[in-house]
Amino acid sequence: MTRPALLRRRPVPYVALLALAAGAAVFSAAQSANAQTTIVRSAFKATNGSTFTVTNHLVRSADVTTSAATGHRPHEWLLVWAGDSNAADSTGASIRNTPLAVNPVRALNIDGKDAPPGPDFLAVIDADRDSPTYGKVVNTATVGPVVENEPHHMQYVFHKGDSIFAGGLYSDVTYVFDVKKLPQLSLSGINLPTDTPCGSIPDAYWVLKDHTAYGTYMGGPDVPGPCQYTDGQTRIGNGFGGSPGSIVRVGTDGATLSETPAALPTSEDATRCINYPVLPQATCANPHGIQVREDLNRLVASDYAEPRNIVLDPVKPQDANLFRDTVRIFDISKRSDPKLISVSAMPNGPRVERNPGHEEPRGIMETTVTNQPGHKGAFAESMCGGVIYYTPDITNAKPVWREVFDDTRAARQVDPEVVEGGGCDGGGWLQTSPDDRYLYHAVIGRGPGSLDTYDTGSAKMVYTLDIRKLLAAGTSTRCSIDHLDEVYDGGSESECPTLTSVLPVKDLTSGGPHWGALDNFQRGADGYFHETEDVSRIAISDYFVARTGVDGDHKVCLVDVTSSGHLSLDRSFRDENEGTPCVDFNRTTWPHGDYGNAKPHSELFVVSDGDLR
Amino acid sequence: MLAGLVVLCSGATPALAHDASAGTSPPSFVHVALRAGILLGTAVVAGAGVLRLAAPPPTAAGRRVLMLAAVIASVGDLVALTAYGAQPLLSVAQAVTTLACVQLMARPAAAAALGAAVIGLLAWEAGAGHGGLGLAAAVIHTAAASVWCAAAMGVATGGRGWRLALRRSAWPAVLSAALVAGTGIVQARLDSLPLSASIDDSTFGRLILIKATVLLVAVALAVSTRGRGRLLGLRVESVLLSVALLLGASLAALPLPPVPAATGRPVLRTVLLGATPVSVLVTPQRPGWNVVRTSSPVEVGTARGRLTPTASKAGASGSWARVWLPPGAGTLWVRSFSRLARLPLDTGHQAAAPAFATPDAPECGEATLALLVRRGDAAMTSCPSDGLSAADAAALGDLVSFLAGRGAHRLQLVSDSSPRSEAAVALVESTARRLHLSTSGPRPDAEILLSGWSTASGSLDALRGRRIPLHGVYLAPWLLSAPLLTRSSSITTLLALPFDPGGVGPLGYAARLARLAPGATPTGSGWTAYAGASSSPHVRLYASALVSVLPASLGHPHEGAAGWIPGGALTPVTGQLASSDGPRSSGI
Repeated sequence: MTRPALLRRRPVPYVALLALAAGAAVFSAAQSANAQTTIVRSAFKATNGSTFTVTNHLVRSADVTTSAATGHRPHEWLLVWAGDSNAADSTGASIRNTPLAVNPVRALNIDGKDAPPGPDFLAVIDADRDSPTYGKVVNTATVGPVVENEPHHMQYVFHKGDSIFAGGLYSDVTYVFDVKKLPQLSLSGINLPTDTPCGSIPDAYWVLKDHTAYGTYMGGPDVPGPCQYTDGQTRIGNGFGGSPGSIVRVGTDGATLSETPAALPTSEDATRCINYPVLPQATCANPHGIQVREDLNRLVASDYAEPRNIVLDPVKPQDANLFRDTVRIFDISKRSDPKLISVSAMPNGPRVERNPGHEEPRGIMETTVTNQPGHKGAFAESMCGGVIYYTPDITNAKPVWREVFDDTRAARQVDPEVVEGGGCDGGGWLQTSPDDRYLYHAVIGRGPGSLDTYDTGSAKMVYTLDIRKLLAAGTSTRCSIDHLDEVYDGGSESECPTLTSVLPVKDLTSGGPHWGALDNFQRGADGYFHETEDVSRIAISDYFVARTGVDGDHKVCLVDVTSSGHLSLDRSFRDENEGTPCVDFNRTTWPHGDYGNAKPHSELFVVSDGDLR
Repeated sequence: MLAGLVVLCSGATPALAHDASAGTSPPSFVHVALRAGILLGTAVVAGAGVLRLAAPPPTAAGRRVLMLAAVIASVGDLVALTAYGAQPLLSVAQAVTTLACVQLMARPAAAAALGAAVIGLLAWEAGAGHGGLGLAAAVIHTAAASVWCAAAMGVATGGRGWRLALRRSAWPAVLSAALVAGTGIVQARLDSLPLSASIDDSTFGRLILIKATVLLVAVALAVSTRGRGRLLGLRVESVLLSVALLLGASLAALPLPPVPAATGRPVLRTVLLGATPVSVLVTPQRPGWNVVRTSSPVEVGTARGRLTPTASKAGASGSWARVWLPPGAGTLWVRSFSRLARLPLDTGHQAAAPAFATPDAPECGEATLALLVRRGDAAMTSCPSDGLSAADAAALGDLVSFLAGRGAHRLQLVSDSSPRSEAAVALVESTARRLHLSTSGPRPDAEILLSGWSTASGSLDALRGRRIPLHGVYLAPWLLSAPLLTRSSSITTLLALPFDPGGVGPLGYAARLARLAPGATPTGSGWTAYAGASSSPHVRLYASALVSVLPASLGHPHEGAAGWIPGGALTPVTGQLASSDGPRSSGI
């Protein structure tokens, strides 16, 4: 048999062709392999008998807790509570309008990766600046069996011995994680919807010195009708996502230690506190933000909104009063029997908005307490009003709240020509520094065109206020934003907070920076970590809740803070795939698999007990 | 018929993997032209580079052609990068390598290496998403087609050396053709090219016909000039192959032709009304009353002059119209303003189920979608409203037991005349009697909707603005439908469900449905159809509420998110309900 002429003379092209084909097939197979991980699972049996799990996916190449020279190396971690992004987060329009691809445009990480629901997870990121894996995701601890929890908040600050309390906004589940063996996690408790029958839509947590936690449940009872709380009181509610919400004390095993009504036993102002459907006793009790001063026996919770009703209804006109303007203070002398002692409506400010929902007191999303023994004050901020309020004494039975800062002053720093800088600008995370010198605030901002075609938007930013003079004035403070000039210029009274620094956040999505956490740890000369009041950096995350139409770019960034409160992006905290500052949660592959984009809502600096002195 | 043409037409075409979206949106002319330019230019240069191992350097005319091809391809790469968001690394690498290959054509080894690299890049793009087999097929297909095309160009522009080389390469040419055809079939199958598709009523099919004709002429020309190396014939052959290549490149950007409807079975197709793709479902596609679901409001009918507008229906996603279909083959016309499209039908001779003539038809249509999601095929001989399933009956019994445990005394039942609703009312009434609950009289303290979607929708509308019963409003399992549950944000509705919507299976159904029919939302009836008749003993109460915790002025409009309750939550709020036959405990 005669070989073909060209093959006889020049076999090289065909040999090369076959080699190329074989190589391509091998390369393709290698591409689909996941990172090498060690799987460690823990389980917890919930009150309904079902088993919940946490599965660690520890990246083997990132074992940085030991070193050959010194043995164990204490470490600091950033924990990020993130949800899987899937088809339910996409709109029909976005699916239909998928652009045609001209090869080689096909982006493998986009094609179909995010369609099926994947597990939500707690990401463990190396936050040790001196570590070779700084900024790398070293573990993803996935939770099961419930998916689409819509991971929301954890506690505000971590202290030695604490567990992590993390809530699912939509699943109505609170997860309790043991973090004593970081970067590995285990599940130490589960709180199910049925464990908190008088509240729904868990939002935020505050951990007490005994390591139990208070949580705010923003929505009403699971089932409409009368609901009896653990203290024997009864309130009639209008159901899941409605009113009134509750304050829940959760044990380290997830058990409900107490569920307390956030509503007064009597009706609140029925014109301000509307409820749909109407309740026999009107209430604004939809607690969202929560912070505690154990030394003062006070718990402060801010009411945000009746969650299921904050949408445009084709028949029922939107009512600005669905955005609550109230702050509630509880006496927690008996930790499992909080007593509601005051409900304060935040005062209106000088701005006259076309949209009543943009007036200053609308949507009191967050609150933060002062920390030093000589201070008794607290702050609150409005998400849709775009301002900050302050009361100098939360032990007062009738606390006086005043507006002390308008976000417009900070937005002006980014865009001097800003229009309606505070109007529904999406103010979120609000946190005093442990030494009470500064106040940090994250603002989602408004994208251009959000209000109308003339709207040029408002800054997406994180800013710092100097609050020393305000706190020093004590109860004699008269700082109040009550003149229109003070909206743009800041308060005219000498003790009013002054703007220290603004960090603009570049983000073209519908969202912006919503949450943050301060780093309250510092490595000491002994190599171990110690709690500090001197905050040198904060973390911020850019995601809200995709299904509300406000998403974000899904990045988590670290921000350096100088002793004078100046903010600057930590450009050494980089994404391990893109090489650029901030950890991008939009990625194809995670240690737990190719689940695509994830939605990081909240974060927390954590050091395991053994590494903390 | 199409299968044969695919084999024939796969020649001389780096048949890139189909765009994922090509089936739903028409490509723009610029898009197709850009794609064709990149492919043709790159393939010619890459093939010429590899051929340098066996052939003399190109003539001056050949170099000019190669340079022109390289410039077209490289500029196209950069345009794709900037205008279409192409992967930067691939685009730049392809552009640079293509230009370098032309520049180094005088050095056989370098040219061949660069040509192979360009082929590798092309093949990587072509095989993306198909795994190892697809990538291997793409490499072989791309390489062979590129070499074939470049050889034709070389002979057409080359001198005597090229024609002598051609005479020596009869066997390799046959081998290349076989490789191109074989790997073309593999790629076509990986792209799910519908081999049963008709070709006469789609751009895709017409383009294949033209391409087949062009290739046949090229082959005939090649046979007639075989061994003689006549320059004119070779040049014509070269041009024909280039045209075939261009057509092939365009094919990869066009929507696949529709698969003909199976006789008497529901049909789901995308038709183009001008540049607008519209998803059309016809069910049961049997003689008699049928329902047509369209993804946007259009007009539909069997007579072009008498079309019926589609409109939204309570509880259902999309737009709907009822259409009378005659037996046998026919056509459904779809029109939006002056744009008209036709959908061939074949209803067969078995009559449509009576439920398609009732207000419950859209629910049956949604169940059809679920079956199509699951199996790609369905035979709708009955509808969910034809009877009360055992699983739903168990759920309703447990619900009544739960309400009794909550202290409810008087239930208000909302029903209609469907067999399912009548059976449900009978069951609830008997259970209520046993548990000493009343189902009539004034001031009910709980309301249970047992009707179909249409009546339930009216009942939910009537609840707006008035005080609801103390213990709330409860819906039958088949009323789990986002358009129904989200009619009013102000009411939390509760459902006793015999399945967990948050489970992997139901969420997978929701995700697959969103891909098959963008804008469609999963339904309780759909899940039952999707999952089959298996009933679950686990009944839990779920609360449905819109939990959109931001005002529309801050958020952007979020139309039609996929999932059970777009923009909201469907959350279990009890443990497993006690059986209505057992002790009266509940999770609350």
